[in-house]
Amino acid sequence: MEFIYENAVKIVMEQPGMIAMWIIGAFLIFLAIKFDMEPTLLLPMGFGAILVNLPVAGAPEVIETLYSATIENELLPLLLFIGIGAMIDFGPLLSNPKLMLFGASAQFGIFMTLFLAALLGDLGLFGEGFLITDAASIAIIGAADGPTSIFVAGQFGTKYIGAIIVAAYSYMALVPIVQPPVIKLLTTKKERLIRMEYSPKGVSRKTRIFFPIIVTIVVGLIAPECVSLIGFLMFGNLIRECGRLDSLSETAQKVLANLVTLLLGIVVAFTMKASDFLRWDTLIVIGLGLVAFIFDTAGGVLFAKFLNLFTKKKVNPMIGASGISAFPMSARVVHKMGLKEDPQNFLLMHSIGVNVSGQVASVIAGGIILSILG
Amino acid sequence: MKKIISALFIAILTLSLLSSFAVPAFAEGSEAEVSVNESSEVVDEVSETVSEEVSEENEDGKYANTIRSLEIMGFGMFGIFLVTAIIVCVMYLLTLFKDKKA
Repeated sequence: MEFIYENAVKIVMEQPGMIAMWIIGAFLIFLAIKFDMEPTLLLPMGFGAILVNLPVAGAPEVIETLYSATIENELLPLLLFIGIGAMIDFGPLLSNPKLMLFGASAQFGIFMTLFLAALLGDLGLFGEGFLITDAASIAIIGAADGPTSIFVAGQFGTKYIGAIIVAAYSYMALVPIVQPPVIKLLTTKKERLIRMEYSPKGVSRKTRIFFPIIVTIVVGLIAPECVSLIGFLMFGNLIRECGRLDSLSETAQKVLANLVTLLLGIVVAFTMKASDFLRWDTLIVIGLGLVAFIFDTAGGVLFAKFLNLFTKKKVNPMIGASGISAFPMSARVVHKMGLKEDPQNFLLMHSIGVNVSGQVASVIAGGIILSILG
Repeated sequence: MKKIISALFIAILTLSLLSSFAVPAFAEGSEAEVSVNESSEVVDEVSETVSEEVSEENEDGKYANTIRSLEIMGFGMFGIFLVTAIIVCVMYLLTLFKDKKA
């Protein structure tokens, strides 16, 4: 009893950071359970945050071993991409390829955040500032894509990886809260009422099969740094579309994705040790993550508005916001906003097409940043 | 529509490309100021002042990361649109494949 009492007093007096991390861990678990915010990831992360911040070492060593075996070498993000690839239907995008442009424009937030992070660091407003690789790792939160964020941050070996992962997944869960005000701010009522007809063109099986193969080759030739990411994503998609591996496709979509997510959550918690996580920089990283999501949304919406200046057949600018990836949450948000404005305006298929294009574009953005700074 | 998209692409690509060249030129010093210096003395003085300030800041490396980030922004957006443009072309080509009717 005395031992427990002494230990408790010692923690409170000497390591208040640990207690703060327990509270943060509990908060993540609370968000996951109470508000259903990315529970598959936030719950294991929250528990992991408590686990690695206990005074007597033991579990952290195991997690560290798992971390170096699965995250440092990028294994888990890549495996997760197979599952994501198997989940994605590129049909809406293939039937209207120009939607891909919105995915590209909605990556603007990544670069804007990179600029702001670098500027904040250079202005010396806090501590030692950010290295350019740290700024790039933070900016990639704007990819709105967990595995890409982990992959890029891992490649750059940034010390902010814990905060980056927490921010990336938290904001993905907060897409329904973050995006609507930005969309409303940048569009008029009239623009939000624009109806878009959906006339599905049949996409042949050959097209669906060739698409992942050719995209992998093209991206591999132009942006080789991201070929592993895009390759695993497209491999998952090929399993889905080939029509001969239904059971594998189902396994990748459910079992593999769940298993990897489960491990990912608890393993990345290794980066949430009080000494690494409880810094002012962490708050700045989380703030910059929000900036990235806002500018991503703005980039997509403004690009759509820009296109409307020249086209007869107007595009509802709201669909541009789906280009931030965050699949399929962002597409649903836009669809719901469209229905709220006009119950007969069904934007889902358009926004899904933009959303999957954002998934590809965010991986390309990550690869390009790695190519430039790697 | 296709013509407009093509024009748009060219405009964005050109702007991105220009920005990726312009930013390093700014960062490295006064290349852009050479022509300005020749035009008038007033502009010359202003140009020198700005040039000195920029050089001083760059010597200290104070804004090195910010300038680098602008450079990355230029190259990055250019790169994304370039790869995307190629993928769009690939997708249009792929849609030529039709399944045999049963």
